[in-house]
Amino acid sequence: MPRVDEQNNANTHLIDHLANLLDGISEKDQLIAELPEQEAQELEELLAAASWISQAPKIEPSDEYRQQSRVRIMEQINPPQAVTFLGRVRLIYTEALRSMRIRQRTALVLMSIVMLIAMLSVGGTQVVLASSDALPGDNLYEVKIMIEEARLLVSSPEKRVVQIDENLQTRLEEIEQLIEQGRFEDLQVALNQFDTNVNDLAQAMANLPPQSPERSAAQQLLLETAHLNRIRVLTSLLDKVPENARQAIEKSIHTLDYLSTQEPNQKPEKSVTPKPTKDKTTGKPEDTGNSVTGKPTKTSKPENKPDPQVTITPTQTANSKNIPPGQVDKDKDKDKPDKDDKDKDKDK
Amino acid sequence: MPLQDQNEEALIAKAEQGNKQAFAALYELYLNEIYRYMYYRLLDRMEAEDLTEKVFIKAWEALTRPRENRQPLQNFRAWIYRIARNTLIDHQRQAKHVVSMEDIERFQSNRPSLQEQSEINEQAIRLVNTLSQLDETSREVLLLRFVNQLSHADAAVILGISENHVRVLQFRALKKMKVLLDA
Repeated sequence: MPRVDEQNNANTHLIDHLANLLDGISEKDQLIAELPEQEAQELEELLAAASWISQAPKIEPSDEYRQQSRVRIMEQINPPQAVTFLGRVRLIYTEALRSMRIRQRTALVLMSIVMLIAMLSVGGTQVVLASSDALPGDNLYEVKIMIEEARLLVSSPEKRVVQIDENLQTRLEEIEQLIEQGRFEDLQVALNQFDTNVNDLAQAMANLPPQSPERSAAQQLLLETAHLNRIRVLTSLLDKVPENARQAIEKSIHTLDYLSTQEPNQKPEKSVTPKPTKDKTTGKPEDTGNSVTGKPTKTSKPENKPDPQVTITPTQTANSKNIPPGQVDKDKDKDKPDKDDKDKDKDK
Repeated sequence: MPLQDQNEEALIAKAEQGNKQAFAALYELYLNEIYRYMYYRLLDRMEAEDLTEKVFIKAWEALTRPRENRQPLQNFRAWIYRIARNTLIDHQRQAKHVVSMEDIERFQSNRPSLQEQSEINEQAIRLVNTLSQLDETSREVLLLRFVNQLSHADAAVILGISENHVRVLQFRALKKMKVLLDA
């Protein structure tokens, strides 16, 4: 063992000498002269290797890339939005819990419980109940969303799908009310939340066992009723909103439609365009008010809009590909690898 | 005073408050370094460009994210390299990217700017060839220290290890490099 120790000691010296020489702390000639010949030689060889790597070409991006990339980045980044009071409370709790090294999911559950208790103690059950009527832009809207999130966190995977489906319906009702009240400036918040719920649904469905009856039922529900109804309602709203809000609604329609095309039971020839209301066979009570004016193809899929399978990305999707989260795509391949799926993959 | 002439600390402080022009100035300051780091790790110009862009977008998001008791960034260089490293790890995990002979061949054939300068090209290819034979850790340490010219301290922050550990890894990596260069 003494030889190993000697070797380690020699290495430790050399490691320090090398680092000091590279940092310019030691004088090379002086140090080399002080070292035994073998160590001095090794040190010089290592310095030569380091010097050789340092002379590597200083690769730089082209000027064209530099300018274009800068423009792209400046277009993509947005100034931070002002934090609301409830958002700030949420932030404090999340950070405090995170600092205690509690897992994010646990932290969210705890945070929700704490918030609920706080709200109940300060404002009583009336606050929680009042929040159920809150619309995007209202003070209590965040409370409403937090209660929804808290309910999702404690639900079983099967119940979660049903729960999210209800949340999506709530979002539609909120959008309708906002438009009725002419609050177009708050529409984007509702549509973003709508997209988040769509993504949640994809995620929740992906977490169900592939062969489970709940998953089949969820898919059936999603495809045959909910999706078409929602698309119809959103399409009917296109007429009622100003030009600047129309684009956001169209995006939500495409997001929904994109999700439905990811399901294994989806017929490949299905059009992006929702059918006019006259043809509907699965109308829910909530549709009847606004879907009467169901618009033809041009409103839901303008000519200048590319195919949603290629370009439409849900607003809050984590990955950069055109696939909503929840590995729906993967499951689709697992469940039913048909020809169209392969073609899609090729296109990608 | 024009933004690009202000010192880095002032730019960072402004960028944290959502000033896009200050962030653009930081982009100009760090673009070359981050791109070079990506380029030598990936050996692919297109991928390096894509990921470099992602790094700056992530940096903006992290800088401007609301945070309680925000402390000013002490070491922006190490911080942005850390984002770059994490972005690269995510990318490699997704793409299962391993530097292969095909990458090296692509590197040799698809570099017009380097081909114009045969001398530089030759050295770059040799470096890439040699680095590709090293393990991931050694390659990373050598790139950070000698290609990107970072200090031991910065490299330690980026790699999430102690400065002493960086010195040890550097020593071992250079020994391996020497063997490969002698071969």
